[in-house]
Amino acid sequence: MQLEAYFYDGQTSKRTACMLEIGPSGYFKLPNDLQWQWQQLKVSPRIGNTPRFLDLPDGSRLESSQNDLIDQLCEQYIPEAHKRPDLIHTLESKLRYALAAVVITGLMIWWFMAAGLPAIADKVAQRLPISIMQELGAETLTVLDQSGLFSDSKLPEEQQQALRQQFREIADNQHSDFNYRLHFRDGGIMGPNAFALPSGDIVITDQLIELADHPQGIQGVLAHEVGHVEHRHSLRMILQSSTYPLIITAVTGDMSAATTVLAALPTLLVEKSYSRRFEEEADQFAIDYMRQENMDVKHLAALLTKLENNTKHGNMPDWFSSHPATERRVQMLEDAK
Amino acid sequence: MNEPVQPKLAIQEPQVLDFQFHGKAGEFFRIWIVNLCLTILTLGIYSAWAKVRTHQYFYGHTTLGGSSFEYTALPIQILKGRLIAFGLFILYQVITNFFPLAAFPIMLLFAAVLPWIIVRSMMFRHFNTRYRNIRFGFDGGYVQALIAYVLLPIGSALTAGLLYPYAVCRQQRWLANHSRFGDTQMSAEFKAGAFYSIYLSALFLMISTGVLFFLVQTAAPTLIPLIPLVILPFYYLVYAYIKVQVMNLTLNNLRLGEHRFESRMRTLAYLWIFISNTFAIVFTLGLATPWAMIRSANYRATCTSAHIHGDLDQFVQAQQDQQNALGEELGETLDLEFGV
Repeated sequence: MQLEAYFYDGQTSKRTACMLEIGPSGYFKLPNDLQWQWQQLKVSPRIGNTPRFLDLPDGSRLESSQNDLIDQLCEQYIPEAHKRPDLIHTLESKLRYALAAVVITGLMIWWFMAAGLPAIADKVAQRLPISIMQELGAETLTVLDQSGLFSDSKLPEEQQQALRQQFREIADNQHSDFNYRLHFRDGGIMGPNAFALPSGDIVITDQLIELADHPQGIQGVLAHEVGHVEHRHSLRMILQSSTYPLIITAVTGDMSAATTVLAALPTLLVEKSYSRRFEEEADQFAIDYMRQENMDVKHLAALLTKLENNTKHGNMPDWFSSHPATERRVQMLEDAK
Repeated sequence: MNEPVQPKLAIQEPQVLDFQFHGKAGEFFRIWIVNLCLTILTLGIYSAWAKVRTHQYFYGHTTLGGSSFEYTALPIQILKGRLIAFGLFILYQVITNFFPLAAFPIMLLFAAVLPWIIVRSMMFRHFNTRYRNIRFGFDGGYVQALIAYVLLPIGSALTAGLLYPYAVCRQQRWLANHSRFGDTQMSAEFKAGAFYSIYLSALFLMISTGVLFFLVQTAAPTLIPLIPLVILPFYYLVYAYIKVQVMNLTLNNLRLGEHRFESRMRTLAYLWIFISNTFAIVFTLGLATPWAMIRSANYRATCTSAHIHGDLDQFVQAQQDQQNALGEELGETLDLEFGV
């Protein structure tokens, strides 16, 4: 058989075009008059129709594009290594395998983002020591106070005491080692709001307390915030968020520079979706607590509805929001009755 | 391999050889998706093989004068480097997330290690690139890399960017002057002034657009909501302009022995490829990535040629030690972009 190739001796860049005559037992002669056997060659793997490089033991090399002929020669002369066709090349050469790969890849990525990653993040977050959570939130409240976003609470001392007492009951109900503290602030431009820092520091604004018609509404909100802490949502969000740049890079590779800017949008959507899931978990936590204490979840539902009417942020579509739509949350609370 | 051997020309007349790229999007798509799928199914282990196959595809389909380039790194070397780099990356993420105060000492440490990473990375990449069975090589040292990639960029930050074009100039000069093909040294005489004129033009572009926005704002305030739509393409334009001009300048000044190179990339053509690639990738959820990669490689090759005095047969192999992949993989994990 005849193989058309370029020969390079490896000492200089001199190129010799040659037509190799491969004899019956695999012997062939190079332009430099040395004789070798096909079995002595190291053949580079087949990748599409990329030219192949055949390494000779003395450092010289052949370059040839006759891929099919080279595969045939390998099967013929090195049968033990080529009993089965090259698996990877077979996968890469058929359209049906490529389509199967598209489907598998798509499903795997979707499953990983929707279920795998949150589950792993949850497992990891629950196993990390509580000191990490305290580190995470240590400076936040100080920074927020210095930013001028909040000012000191104007709530009467006795009302604060009563709320602290209720909060203490929720906190004591937990079996974790979080050091729960309740902070009252004047919400200023932020208005009615409550949020939890990962350390167990929970902030509630005067405006939210004024908004509530029934004390059990506030207790529901506090239980919701404790739920965020107990479920370690901020830590899980960090763990999840640091993973998807890796996914985008894995998919787009060299092209990732081009997509960085536009990738911000899908990233944002994914993050919001995680955040909505966390809100639902925290709502469920509040429902469980309120039931256990024989409270009526309708007070929490009422407070959420008032909060919604108060903020009037227009109708943001659900998939763009960090919280589930209030109607859905209220529905969930009503279903819980 | 049916192309005729280049006819010998008189020594004084350089022959112009065009770089050619023969990759096909359809063929590469199958390679790419199988790479991605197997990488996922093997939890990332296969990524080392995927990287080698991708490089081999792109190098192998790039030809100069009928001979292909070859990428010779072994997947197992890449895998080792990748595992270490990945571990360090995770460590870095965790530490900076939990202990933001540790970020500064880590940055100092990183600044000290960065030149080493760049040197090793260039060595690995060049060592594993062959053309006509002759290896490329790289012999840059730590101190020069420290100056070009750490000290000068810090200096440029302290001088509001005044030193930045000089830093880029030093980087390109360092990369070029320490590269070789076989035992033939590459060289490039860059004037910092040329880099300053590129960046000044980019600055002028930015200022004039800023003025334009200001005029729009005062004359036709109703158009203000449209401004963000213009900002993104404009940001890409400045990026493309700098990228193309620096690439042209670098290649046009590059010498390999008595041979030289020519790069004819154009900003608007590159910008069009860049923007259309980006949209294609985003709207196909990544499926257009292989097509985009082939297009970019094709454009780059089409715009590059070599002016050869005599023929390409005279280069001599140099003795070199095996290189490990750690530096290269660290560089890649940290998303560094450099190279001629």
